[in-house]
Amino acid sequence: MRAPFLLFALVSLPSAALAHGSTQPHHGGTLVMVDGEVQVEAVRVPEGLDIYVSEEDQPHEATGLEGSVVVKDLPASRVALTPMDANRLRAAGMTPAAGQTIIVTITDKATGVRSFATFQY
Amino acid sequence: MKKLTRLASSSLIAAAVVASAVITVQSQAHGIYFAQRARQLALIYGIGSEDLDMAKRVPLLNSVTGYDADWNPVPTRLRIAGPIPVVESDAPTTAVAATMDYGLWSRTADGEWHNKGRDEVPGAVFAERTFKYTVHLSQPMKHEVPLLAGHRLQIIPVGTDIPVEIGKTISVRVMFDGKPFAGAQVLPDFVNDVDMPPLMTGPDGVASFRLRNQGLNVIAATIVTKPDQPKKYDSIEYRATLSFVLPHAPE
Repeated sequence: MRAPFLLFALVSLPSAALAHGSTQPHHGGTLVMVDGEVQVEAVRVPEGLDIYVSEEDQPHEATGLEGSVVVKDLPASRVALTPMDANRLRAAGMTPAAGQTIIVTITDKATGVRSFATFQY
Repeated sequence: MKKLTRLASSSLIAAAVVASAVITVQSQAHGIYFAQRARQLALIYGIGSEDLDMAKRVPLLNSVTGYDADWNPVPTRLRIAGPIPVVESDAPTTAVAATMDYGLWSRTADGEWHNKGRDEVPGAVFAERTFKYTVHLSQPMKHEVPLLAGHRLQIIPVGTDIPVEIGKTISVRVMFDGKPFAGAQVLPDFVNDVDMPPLMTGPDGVASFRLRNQGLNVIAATIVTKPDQPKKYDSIEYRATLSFVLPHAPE
């Protein structure tokens, strides 16, 4: 069935429908699938924004990642990600406002592979 | 915006004049284009299914640039990851582009190519100067692709709506030095059907064809012009590619 697919493709041409792994959030947040197989979930917490990273449903060790979170078009808002536990990193103090677009940058320290996940609040 | 020159209106003159400078020769046929490799966007040097060593050719690149949805520059570079150079940017990109000066090449009677001008290769039967350009679109476009600085030859989709289904017709305009180019050779599928007879752009620089792949599409355009240094080479070849992906159906 093509019609619904076309609409989706207009939203996200490169990564549309390439999911390898669940697209459902596991921590009560919002999940974005990036690069076809990396799941990035953003969860609001009192301390800021927690980011969970998995690859094909396998949690990615947080200590093996580095990155940042920034409000689009507000470079001064950039907050470095801090590994917390398991596959959870935290952007302390990041509190997205309604209407803002948040860009999460994650780099695998071992491979140098960088991924971007975009969240619309 | 300094680096970009907005696409001129479609008053399509001068193309025929430029086209008259075109000559036909047998030349090297490789191009550069961006394609996904191991989740990342890689710069490929090759033709058809040949994916040659781009990493060693990185020094020949003149520019690697990235752009957001409004065609504002995004700091972008290549990172050598094993045998392939991959795109690394400071923010998400809607498009990336690269230009390459592939230098002088002379062919001797035995079919060998030498990375020198005719004046340095005794017995050369043909010599050319080559430039390669590429643009990759990774998101739906809000604005028409502009002319990019440094891209003397560029393929520009007509309008902003690239079809997302195989078999749909796309029109592209081939621009040379900022003007529509009549008589450019266009290959609709540079990866999977590189030996098909090329299409030729019309007086308005436009060629239309059906999209070949529900996946990666690499469109190539080539023009060959007279040399500015005839003692060194017989012609100058400009090859540009435009690549983008039509997404597959949900799994």
